[in-house]
Amino acid sequence: MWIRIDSNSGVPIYRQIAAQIEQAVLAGVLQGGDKLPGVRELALELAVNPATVAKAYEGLQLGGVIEQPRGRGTFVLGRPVLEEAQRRRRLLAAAESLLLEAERLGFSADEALAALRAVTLAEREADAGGEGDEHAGS
Amino acid sequence: MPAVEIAHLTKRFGTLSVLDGIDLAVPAGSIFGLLGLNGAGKTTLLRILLGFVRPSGGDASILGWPLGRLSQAERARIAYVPETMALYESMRVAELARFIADLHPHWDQAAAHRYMDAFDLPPARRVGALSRGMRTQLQLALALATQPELLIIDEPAAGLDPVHRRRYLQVLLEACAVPERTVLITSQDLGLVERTCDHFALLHERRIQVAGPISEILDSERRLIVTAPAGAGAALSALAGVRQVRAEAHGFLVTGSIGPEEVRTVAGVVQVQSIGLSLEELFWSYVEGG
Repeated sequence: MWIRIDSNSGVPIYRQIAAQIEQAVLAGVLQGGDKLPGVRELALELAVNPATVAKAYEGLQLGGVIEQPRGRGTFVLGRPVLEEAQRRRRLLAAAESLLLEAERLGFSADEALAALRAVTLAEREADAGGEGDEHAGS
Repeated sequence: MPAVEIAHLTKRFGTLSVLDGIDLAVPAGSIFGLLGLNGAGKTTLLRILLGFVRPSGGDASILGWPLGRLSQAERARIAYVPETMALYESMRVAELARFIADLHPHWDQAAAHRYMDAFDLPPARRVGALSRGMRTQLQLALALATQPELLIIDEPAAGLDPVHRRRYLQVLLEACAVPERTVLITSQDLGLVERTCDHFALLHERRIQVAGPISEILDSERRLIVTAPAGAGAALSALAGVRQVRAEAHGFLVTGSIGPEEVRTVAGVVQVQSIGLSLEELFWSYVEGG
């Protein structure tokens, strides 16, 4: 398995396991219907306490990333569908770190916003440009 | 019923107080890590439980039996693996296993073979010719083959390279994933305890500072980077749940069972950022003090 535990990361092990599985699902490495190893199997593989893996799976199940139909195993549900409040919280957290980074670099909040707009514009133009090329080619 | 229960236990050597009012319960079926600095009294506590040392006060029970009342039959349900163990150096590995098998009522020969195979222990090698890592593995294999209800290991996996350490922990975890077996280990290796144990206790300054299920405790604890003027330190220290406040260049590192919301109520606080907390940082927040 590709999961790596880092004892010095300051992140509890069950969260490391859950985060790496969630990332794999988001990246499409794991897809809906894929079977994950059982709790004991993964615990042995990683040489961690089974309760730790069980807790990681529990969190992933609550988050709608996996399902554990009784006695049949553990399966990936597909890309996690986040609730509105959760999505908002993550967006705010990302915005906060952008603002922090801007402050560190000596920019104001307005300048950070302007940078965000500039990136958005540039992306739109790139998209439009891409389509244009396609038309020209066909 | 907990596998080990300790109440108000004290130990003095002459005028030196080593353990002072220890209360501790090791749940049956748990893998329990007892943490502490060198000389914190971990081994003394184990030796009291095993009946090698008498406590100065307090009570303890093992597998439901009061200290000192364990019969031979109950003792056979407990396996103890000290950090360094005198083995019969001139015996061959297989001979030593047979020797212990004869002494032990619950010996499982098939399991003994399985563990020795898992560790690649050469049966014909003389014990005295084994490497330190092989001796460590042999001790675990022999202890597990006695099918203990309570397995006590002082500093497991000591002296093993990363490959053998991983194998050792895998064998230990696999053998102990049964609800009727309890494991109590002492260790200075916080990463090992966080990985393998589900419960822990921290012994420091003669007392248990914190004990319980590892993931629950880590969930309730936070480290917060707080941007605030130097004057805010006292108010931060006074918040309920805060254990350690460390002054940084432009703020504080706050550790405790406290959320960012409570910290934001302190006058002068500009920014609060929550960062992860592993067993290692939890350990330091107790050992370094406030």
